[in-house]
Amino acid sequence: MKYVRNRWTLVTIAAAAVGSLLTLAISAGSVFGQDQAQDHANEYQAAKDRKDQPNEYQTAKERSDQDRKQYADKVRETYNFRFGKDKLFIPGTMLVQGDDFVQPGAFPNATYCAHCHQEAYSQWRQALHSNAFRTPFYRASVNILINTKGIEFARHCDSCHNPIAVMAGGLTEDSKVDRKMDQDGLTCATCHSIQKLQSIKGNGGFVMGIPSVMVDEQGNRIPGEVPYDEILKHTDRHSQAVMQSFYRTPEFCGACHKANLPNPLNDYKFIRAFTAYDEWQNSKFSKRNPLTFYSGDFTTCQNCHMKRAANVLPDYGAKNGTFASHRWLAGNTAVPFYYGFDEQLEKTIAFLRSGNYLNVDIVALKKAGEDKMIAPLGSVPFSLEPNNLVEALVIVQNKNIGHSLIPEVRDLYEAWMEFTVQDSGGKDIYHSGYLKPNGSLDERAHSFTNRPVNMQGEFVDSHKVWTIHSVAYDNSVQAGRSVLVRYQFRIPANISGPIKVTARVNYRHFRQSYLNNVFGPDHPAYPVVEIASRTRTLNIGKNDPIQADAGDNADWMRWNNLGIGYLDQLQYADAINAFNEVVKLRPDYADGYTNIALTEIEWEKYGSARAGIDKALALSPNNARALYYSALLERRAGHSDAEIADLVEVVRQYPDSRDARRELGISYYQQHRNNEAMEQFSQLQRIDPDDLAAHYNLSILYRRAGMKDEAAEEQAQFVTKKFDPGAPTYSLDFLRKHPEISTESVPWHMHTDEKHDMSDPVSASVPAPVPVPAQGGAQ
Amino acid sequence: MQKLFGLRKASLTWTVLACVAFIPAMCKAQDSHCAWFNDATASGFLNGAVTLDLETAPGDQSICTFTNLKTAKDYSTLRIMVQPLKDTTKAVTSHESLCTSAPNVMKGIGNEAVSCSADVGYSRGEQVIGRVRDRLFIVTVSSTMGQDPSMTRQLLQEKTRNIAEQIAGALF
Repeated sequence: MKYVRNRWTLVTIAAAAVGSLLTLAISAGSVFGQDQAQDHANEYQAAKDRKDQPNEYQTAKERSDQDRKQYADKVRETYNFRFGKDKLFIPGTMLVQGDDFVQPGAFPNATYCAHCHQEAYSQWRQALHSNAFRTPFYRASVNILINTKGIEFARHCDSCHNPIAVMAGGLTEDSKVDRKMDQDGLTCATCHSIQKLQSIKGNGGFVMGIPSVMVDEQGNRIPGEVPYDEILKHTDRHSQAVMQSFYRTPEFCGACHKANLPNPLNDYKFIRAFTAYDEWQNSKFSKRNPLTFYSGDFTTCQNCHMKRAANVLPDYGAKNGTFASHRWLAGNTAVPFYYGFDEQLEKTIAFLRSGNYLNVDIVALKKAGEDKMIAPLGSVPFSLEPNNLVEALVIVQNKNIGHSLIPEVRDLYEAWMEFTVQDSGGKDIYHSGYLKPNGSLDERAHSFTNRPVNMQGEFVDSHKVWTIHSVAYDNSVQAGRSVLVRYQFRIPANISGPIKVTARVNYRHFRQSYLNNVFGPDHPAYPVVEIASRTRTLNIGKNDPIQADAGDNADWMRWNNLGIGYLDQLQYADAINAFNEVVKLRPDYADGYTNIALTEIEWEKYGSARAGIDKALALSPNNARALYYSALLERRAGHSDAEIADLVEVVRQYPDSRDARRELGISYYQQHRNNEAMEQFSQLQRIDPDDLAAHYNLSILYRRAGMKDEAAEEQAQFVTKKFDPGAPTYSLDFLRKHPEISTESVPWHMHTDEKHDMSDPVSASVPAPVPVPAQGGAQ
Repeated sequence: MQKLFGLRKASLTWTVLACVAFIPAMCKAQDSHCAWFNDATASGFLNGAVTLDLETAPGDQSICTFTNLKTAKDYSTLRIMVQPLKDTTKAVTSHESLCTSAPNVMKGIGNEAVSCSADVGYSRGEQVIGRVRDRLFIVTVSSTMGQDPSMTRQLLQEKTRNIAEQIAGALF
């Protein structure tokens, strides 16, 4: 018995020991090497030193391939293949050369690059790209997705926010991946390893290569790190490995600055999330759209967001003492504010105010009871009396932004108009767009944002984009367009001195409700930046014309912008009146006549529209914009040949015009010229792979051509991307619950002079946000 | 019968052996998740294979302790404690008594955070005490291997900061 007991004791001890060893083995096996890139550098040098190796490229490549295979085999053992065995990164779009997982150690660390690129590293560390994953603003939202749907769904977001983690197979339950990469978000080797772009779908629409910082003499990419002295000996081979010509194109940025919510993410249907790329493509800066109201020079994303500037730190990438900025300055003040990156914050604020991006114009006044409009304000005489009820018309022109205001995730950002009327003592007579003591924005403010809603008709807060079913309204200002905002106020009966009217566009990253969700209510006030403003002083009594400010638009453009504002508010008669003022001031301006015509086309006054187009074409023969609208009129009149001829000319001038390609495709389709129609819709898909007309028409055309599989695919794409006719019910539900902002969904609405309710039930523990006044802007 | 019993006995012995052998591994497989940090990342920071102990403590504290055991005397540990807070005011400062050096206020970690030393005997340690909304967290990295160049005070501080950032990120 004693023997048995001893024997069992021994067995138990032995078993426990084996178990512990197994545990250790499992733990050890779970640690995937982080320093493989460095190992490669050592190996590279060793291979060069040895004579028996064919060359350093083959050694490094073989080693890299072996490492990758071993790594990927291990990841596959526990990876969640919810979306299919061959769909490693769905719901993201990214692809990787070799179609397999990549060990994170294959990506050289940013500090490796910093050895020679100190300026780039220093800028990148404070920039959004390096902080794309780690910030609380991102984590708070993606954590909700992980905790409610599962970490595998976060591949959709992390494809752009933390692609190395996605490629490493780290987005799975019980991941065995060392998440050291989290602190670097998009590191140097992420962008500089992209080898190809997929069609412009977004959601990470790139093809990643295995990182390499040098090619060999034959141009083969050498994986991993190589010693610095080797790079310095062959800088041309370094450039060949890390730079691609398409890195300088907007399409490169579009790989991530365009996003949709696909069915695998939301279990609903394809929904467009945001598309700064498409907005750029439709802007004057792309030179691809003949229909813009104004023209401009070709300007890429990089031209604005990666401007060259004198480098402060040594950097081998600098040319003539300047370096293309790796700060990617844009609108995000929250991240540098949170991390204390003062330089980035200061430069971001300066960027927001630079470039003449917006023009704010108090363009007109209307006194109650009088039909005549006082416009353009400042250029015509007028008088004001005490107790006048006055309507002020304010134009915000998106003059030089290559995308909308606000771009991208509008549910999180906040841009709004603050409008004040003050007496000579600085006392408010009227104030719209103020911040409450708890930091939240006056609900009745005119906000350049949208309101996504879920199935319950509630605002989708905390960026739970997978629950979006509809958008209650979208008041963003598209590139090149102008919006008209109306305010009404009463001049006090006892007014004595002049009144000061100010309209300013403020921006806050992020909206207060989101900041509260991320941090709770006890966070510091986040910066509010005044992007642009205009102040006018109005006398009680007589007002003579005054000289324009340096930043003011010319009067013809002020009328033009007012016309655009009216047009978008469906006020066609007023729009035509405004455009008529344009051609009075600029009879040589062909677009003025086209603007009259396009308004009449929208108003279905096709007969009179012809005159405007003819006048425009007389002034500017072959004007693509006029020809496009001419084609629509020819179609209406049944002149198919003229219609097609006009559109062919537009396409010749603008081969990447999605509108012209679409209309020409329709024209050919209607004429039963199927092959030519197919060609146009295929070209349209090259420009915009999500165009509904292309999907719909191609599904029919392919079927007629006997291409059943292609037809079925186009049909399926059309079905998932088409508008859900039931969706507006969610929006209506939301608007019904929120009468305080429901007027914002109406194109024509007035912000009226009402008593402000400053009492707020929310704790006053949040300090009021610190306004950052703009430079100048006041009269 | 005896032969059969002998067979059964032998089988039983091996079955028990196998079961006991796998108990630690199975327990680990079932309960080895630290909610905020995985083993692989801990291994990376502690420079070697780790074991994980999970515990709960009064005040709804949840504690993950990763240990890289070289010898009985030479080891490094990463301890992560998370606790819900009823009152967030002074949550961090009230825990500064755990510091063995003057606390330094940190930027970019949670709602608020401080870093300080956490030396115990011959074990050198660094910690971050922080808060995310209504949850307190304390991250401590310590090592008894004073001569290990990867566990210098400066590197311990760096590791602790990076880990604290990840913990705060998971808590947001």
